[in-house]
Amino acid sequence: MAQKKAPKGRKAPAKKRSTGKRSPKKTQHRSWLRRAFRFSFRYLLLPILIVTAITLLILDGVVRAKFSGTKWTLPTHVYSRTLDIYAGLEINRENIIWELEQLGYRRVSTPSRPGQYAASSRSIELHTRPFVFLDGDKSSQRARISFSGNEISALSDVRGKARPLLRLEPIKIGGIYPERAEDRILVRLEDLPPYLADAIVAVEDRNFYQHHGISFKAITRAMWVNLRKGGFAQGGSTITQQLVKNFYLTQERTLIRKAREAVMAILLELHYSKAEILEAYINEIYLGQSGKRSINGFGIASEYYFRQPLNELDVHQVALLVALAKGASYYNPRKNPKRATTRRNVVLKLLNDQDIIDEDATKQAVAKGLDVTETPGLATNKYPDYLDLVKRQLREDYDDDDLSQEGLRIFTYFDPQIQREVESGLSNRLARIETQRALEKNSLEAASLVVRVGSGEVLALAGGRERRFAGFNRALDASRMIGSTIKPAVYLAALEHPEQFTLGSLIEDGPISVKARKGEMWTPRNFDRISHGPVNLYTALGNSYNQATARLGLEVGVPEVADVVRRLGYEGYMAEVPALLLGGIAMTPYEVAGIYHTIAAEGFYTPLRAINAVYSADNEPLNRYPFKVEQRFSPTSMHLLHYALQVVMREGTGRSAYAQLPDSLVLGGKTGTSNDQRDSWFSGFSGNYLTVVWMGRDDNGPTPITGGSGALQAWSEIMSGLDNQSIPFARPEGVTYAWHDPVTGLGSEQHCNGSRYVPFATGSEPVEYASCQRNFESDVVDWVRRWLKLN
Amino acid sequence: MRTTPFSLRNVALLALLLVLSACTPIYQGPSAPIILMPSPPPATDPNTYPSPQPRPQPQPGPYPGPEDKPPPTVIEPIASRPRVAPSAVDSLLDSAWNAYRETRYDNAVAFAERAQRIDSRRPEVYLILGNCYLAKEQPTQARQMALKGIAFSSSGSATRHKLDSLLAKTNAQ
Repeated sequence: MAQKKAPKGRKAPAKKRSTGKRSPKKTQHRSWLRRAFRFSFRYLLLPILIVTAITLLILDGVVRAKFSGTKWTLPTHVYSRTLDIYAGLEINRENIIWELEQLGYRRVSTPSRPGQYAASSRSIELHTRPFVFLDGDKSSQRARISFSGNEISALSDVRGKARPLLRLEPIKIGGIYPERAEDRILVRLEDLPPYLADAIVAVEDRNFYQHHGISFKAITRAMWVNLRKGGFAQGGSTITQQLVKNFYLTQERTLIRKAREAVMAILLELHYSKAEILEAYINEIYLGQSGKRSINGFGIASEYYFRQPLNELDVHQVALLVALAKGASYYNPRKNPKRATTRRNVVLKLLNDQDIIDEDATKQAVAKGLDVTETPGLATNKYPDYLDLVKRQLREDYDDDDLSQEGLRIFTYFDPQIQREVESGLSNRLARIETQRALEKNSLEAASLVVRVGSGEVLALAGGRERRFAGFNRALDASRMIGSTIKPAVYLAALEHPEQFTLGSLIEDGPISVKARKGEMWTPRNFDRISHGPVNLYTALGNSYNQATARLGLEVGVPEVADVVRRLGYEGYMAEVPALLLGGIAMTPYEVAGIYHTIAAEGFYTPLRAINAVYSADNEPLNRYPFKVEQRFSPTSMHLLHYALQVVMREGTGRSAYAQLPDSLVLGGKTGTSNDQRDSWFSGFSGNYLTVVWMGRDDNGPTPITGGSGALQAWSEIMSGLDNQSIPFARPEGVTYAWHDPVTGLGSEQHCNGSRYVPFATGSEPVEYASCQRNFESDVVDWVRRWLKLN
Repeated sequence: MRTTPFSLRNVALLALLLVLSACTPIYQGPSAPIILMPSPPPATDPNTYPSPQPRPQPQPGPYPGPEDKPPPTVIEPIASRPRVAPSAVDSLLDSAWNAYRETRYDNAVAFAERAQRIDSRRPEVYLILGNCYLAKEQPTQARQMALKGIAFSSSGSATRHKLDSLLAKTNAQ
């Protein structure tokens, strides 16, 4: 190569010499220039061109890869139950208004569009929003709800025609977020409210539709303004550049980043339409911060600031959101309302200047307040304890990435109205108990959950006394000794053998001592330290006699009782020892609720459920969690057990519940107190709600409260706020009622002193009769009653 | 006014009847018995059933005093249960049957479950659910739904016949 090149190099100077026109100096100079150019081209420009080309190709790949694929990881949003409204529903006007406010409905004088309502003293007129429900789409509806006291007396359309049902969309109760906690609701250009797209262009980049990614005009203008003001006052970035900065790059302020931004903006414009870029900008822009979670895009910002869907916003609200694009923290309307108002009005004026809104509309909008809700519409963890349950149930079917990135929509059974009752019931009672018993403040803790009887839907859950605190979830994780809470299982095990045990059977409530494991003696005693002698089964359960229950359980057999506990729904480990008969087993409130739900549902086991359905981000149903059921106990034995649990409530350890609940309400339940009163339990149910309450200390120390004086009080308070129905205590086939004498356990007659009408499994009614002492007093009362009825 | 003597006569008659009733046995007919107030459990008295343990000092009761009140009323079975929000439930059940007929079983289940939330003891709810599960070839669930419906239906009713027939079908599968 060197040999070939040498003659070439010699040739050139010879050629130059042959012209004889140029001086050697000039020739030398040209040659130097050429060499310099060659050198520059070979060693500087060419590499630069190559590097630039490669960089452009890489950037182009980056731009296209991210923009054409899934642009954002979307958090999962979790929703409450939908609210079915119908005549006869027990709910008052205030609670419906509360629900509407949670949904961001606006109170107006005449509701004319979706998301509005008007309220008078006895009725509410509303215009519902369209929503894709599990059983089909529902368009917007207009209806009038009339109230009579705490009940809906009528439901009609606006012309007064009665309608059977109206459904309100679910409330968004939280989300499951990725590590980089960005929250957004994707919106499409066609779903935007009027003026939003125009306002963004007018304020952020008025030449948006003319430039190709960068605007020299805007840059020059910004430089001029900044020079005049002696600092940074205006940016020259186009909407495309802003999108590139937020979407692809970091927030660092360097020339290289700026150059990259400009190049990528041009590339973006080369590949995508203005509409696509604007839509991405609307979904990407940072518009606020809620704790660790950043609010990205106008869709979520609308819910965050106004609790309203974006398409329902008025121009003054749109202007505020556009104003925030300049600096979401600086113009934060909750923290700096004055500053935000000024900026919003600047936006409104710009809209007017560019003939987007007219003078009158501008004046009206400027005169309006910010209309921002006091609390953010989307608290990340408004109900962290319930959300915890939802996540645990979801993890059986979805991995963490799916949950935090795929934008799933989870529909749950959570009832925010019931949750309010649970939270206030627990905190009120705990504070009261601590005061009454002179306990250290906040020394007691509690947990509770409410389940819909029959369907097993978990409606509310509190994992501690502190509301909205995502800490140790006692409802799910606090495994505590359940004490007498287990007793219904012992009696149920006995009642499943009607040939051996009936409700009227007598069992000795006297001292009992059994050899336990390791040779120790197990000697249970009653709470009042008194032995009550022979007592019938319902009295023993009603008064929670330990000695009688232990004796009964031993007669039935510990393994049989353990089997009943398992059939009731408990899946954990159980040491089959005599102490099990009196609740020597630790369970969580959630597990106890599972067991009691089978009892409340008359022997039909249903796994407790928090989730109704899972939908994709595109609203496609992915998974349903339907109601499942399995009959595990006969209607006969469950009817007998329900009778005994009603005795608990009417005459036994649960009777103080009726201080807060109406006498007419038929309830069943059982107290539970563990050794040294370390745990106070109450598990009880009406016809439609099962509520379990646990109280105790986190350090498992003794307390001065029992199941009756602690948990039962909170239980009663919670239940008194619910629309309870009585237990439908209908006699099933296979049950016969007969008069019996509670003292002897033998048969009796209606007119005999102390006789009682008790259910028996048919065929197990008493055949021997006790001697009858006539109850003349009641005879007379009965006779007069009948006489008065006849007349 | 003649009302006063008339009322007095009634009161006098009532008083006489009351006196007589105290001395006369009363006919006990086959009518549904009226429940008596249960007497307090006699065994709670330690004197009646002597305990080998020394009588203890009073302990804090298992329920608080001030909020306590006497045991209210009686425990007795109800003859029939009133239907809850019948028009709302009927409307949902109609929608569920329509969806079932159109073989939109998931929708039918969703409608029936809404009805169940309002009235969990309507046997028709479980009839629809059972039929849906049978159509979806889940006979075990269909059978359980039939059993639940049967538990809530009265014998001889049309729904009960349908539930019995559903149960027979699930047994056959």
